[in-house]
This record gives sequence, structure tokens and C-alpha cells, in this order.
Amino acid sequence: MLTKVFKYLFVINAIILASMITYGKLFVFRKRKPQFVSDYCATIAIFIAIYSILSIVFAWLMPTTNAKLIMLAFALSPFAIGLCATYHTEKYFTLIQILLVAISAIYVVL
Amino acid sequence: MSLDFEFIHEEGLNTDKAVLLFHGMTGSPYEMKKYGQFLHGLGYDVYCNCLPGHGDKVEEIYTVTYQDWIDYACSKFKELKSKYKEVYLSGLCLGAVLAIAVAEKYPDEISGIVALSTTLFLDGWRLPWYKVLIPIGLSTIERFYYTYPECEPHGIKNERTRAVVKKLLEKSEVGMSDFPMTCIFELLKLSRYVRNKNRLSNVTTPILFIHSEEDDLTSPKSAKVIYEGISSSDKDMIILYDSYHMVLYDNEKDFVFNTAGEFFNSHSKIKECVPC
Repeated sequence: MLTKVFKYLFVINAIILASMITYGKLFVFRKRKPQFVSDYCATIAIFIAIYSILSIVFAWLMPTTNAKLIMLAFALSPFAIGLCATYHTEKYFTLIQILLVAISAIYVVL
Repeated sequence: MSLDFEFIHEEGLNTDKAVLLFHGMTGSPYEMKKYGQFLHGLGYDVYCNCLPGHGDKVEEIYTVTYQDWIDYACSKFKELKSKYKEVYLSGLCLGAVLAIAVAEKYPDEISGIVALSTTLFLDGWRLPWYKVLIPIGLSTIERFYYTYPECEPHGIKNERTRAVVKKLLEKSEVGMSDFPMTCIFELLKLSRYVRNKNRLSNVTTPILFIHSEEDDLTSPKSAKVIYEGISSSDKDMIILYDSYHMVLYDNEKDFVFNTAGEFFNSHSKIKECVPC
């Protein structure tokens, strides 16, 4: 029962996070007023934090070691991407981030 | 239009002492101009240029690194040291941190430093409620999306001055109107670099810190950390009680100018300009 609840939370959070990053990249960042962008980014940061925490929770709940490691990798992925990305490559890493969030949601459901 | 300035005494008057000024993050030499003019009036040649990533090449603000700032500051200092007997440093905000970074490399070659509103930590009272999320913003892809908007009170307690500065910022004539997160990221990396205990203990240069108790961007903790870590025997800290971050423009600016001038004069062995 608890696993199901966390599953729903994770998937909803992942959908919101991926959508916000996509929408932000297309219509918000460097396009809207700085105060709005600031608040928008703060909201994304909250969802990234929730995403990482829920991934760690799932790493704990997963039955096999491989599954635990995969969930831990998802939990750390936003920070790994942040480490690797540069100003010139951030478009590609944004795409990778969105894809990873989507893949993690599918993985958790399956 | 270049915002750089140099106030050099006329040919034939050998001053032999210079002050190198460093402006703040996303600022420009414009914010140091009145201060520079004041010091020039006291007999110093004064130099101030745009830091890497600022001024005409504003798009570089997204790619500039803290090492670029340090390399620039050191090269500028060495250039002046080859021309003048005494070279002093003074900086505001990021500029103050850069002055300390130069002092860590050349502690015995700098005649003195005046550090204004030294910014090691972003812990001022005007930072928004989500400042606790800054570590997440800095360490993820968000670093490239987020800009912290320049907002009230713009580092100035005096309302009249604030209104003037606000108009200038809106026209982007004197600096950027917001802080890219990538720039903040580099400032915090510079802060970690400078705070290194081994490097900090190398500093033996005479230093005066001036910081506002009510600084809206960075608390006096920044200045205190450096003050306690350096090995200088000649060091002092002055806390202002009627100003915010931009101490060169606020209610106590005259006091700041005069105190800095007195500090430089008291450490100078060259008392006046002499004809060559």
C-alpha cells in the first residue's frame, strides 16, 4: 500500500518536473521577467529535491540490488548532470535530464 | 562606450603610488568612479577596468570562471607594480574578495587593501525565502536557467540615491540588472578558494575591512571570516550602521571615502606628488 502511494507520488512529481523544465526551456527562461523566472526556478528546485528524495525512498523499497542501484542513480542524476553541463552544452543536458526523469517514472511503474 | 577609467596625474608629476580598484559582481567601474576621483584628489593614480565577463562582453558572464577573475586581477596588479613604488588595492563585493585573492599570491608586494562589503557568503536579509534552495540550483542544470533579479533596496538605504541608481540599472548603463546563477556559482567557488586556511594565512598585507551591519546581500560574517584567518598584524574592521551593501553610495559614503583615504595615506611613504 505504501509502495503504491510512493509510486503515484513519484510519477506525478516526475511528470510535473519534466513538464516544468520543458515549458521553462521553451517559454520562460531568458524570455520572461526575472522575478517570474526566479520564482519558476525555485519551484523546479523544490520538485528536483522531491524527485531525489523519492528516488532514494524507492531505492530502499526496491527488492533487488540492481533495482536499488538504478534508483540511486536516478536520485543523483540531476547533480551529475549539473556537474557535467556547461553553458555551451546545457541544451543537450536539459534534454538528457528530461528523458531521465521520464525513464525513471516508467521504470518505477513497471 | 568603455566604462573603464584611469585617473593619472599629469605628465611631469611623479606620484609613484597607485590604487587598483575592482568593482562588484555584475557591476562596472562606474560604481567605483566617485571613489576613484576622491583617491585621485589625494594624490594617487587610480585604475579601474571591467572584470572579465562584464562591460562590453556581457555575454561572457555566463562562461567566465573565478580563475579568469583571479588571473585578471593578478595580471593587472603586476602591471601596475612594474610602474609604481606603492600599489594599493580596493574592491567592493566580489572586488574585495579578488583583492584578498591577489594578496594571497603577493602578500609582501601590496602596500595595503581596503575591502568594502566583502562577499564570501550570500546570507543578507534581502535574499528571498527560497535561498535555502540555492545549493540545488547551483548543483543542477538549473544553474543555467536562473538569474537572481536585482530588486529593492538595490543595496542602498538612502532612498533618493536608490531611486537614481534604479533608473540607471533599468537602462543597463552601469551594470547588469540581475545576477546569473552561473556568476553566483563562480563567486561561491572564488569564496571557497579564498577561504582556504593555508592560502588565507599567507596574507600579511595591511588590510582595512569596511562592512555594513545591515548589508542586505552579505552579512559582516564574510569580512569577519577573512579578518580572523589572515596573518596580517596591521588589520582593522569598521562596521557601518546606517548603510546597506553599496557603501560607496549610501548614507555613510563620505565616511567610507575619508576612512579609506586615511588608511592609504597612513601606509604611504610617498607623501605628495613631486615634479619629475
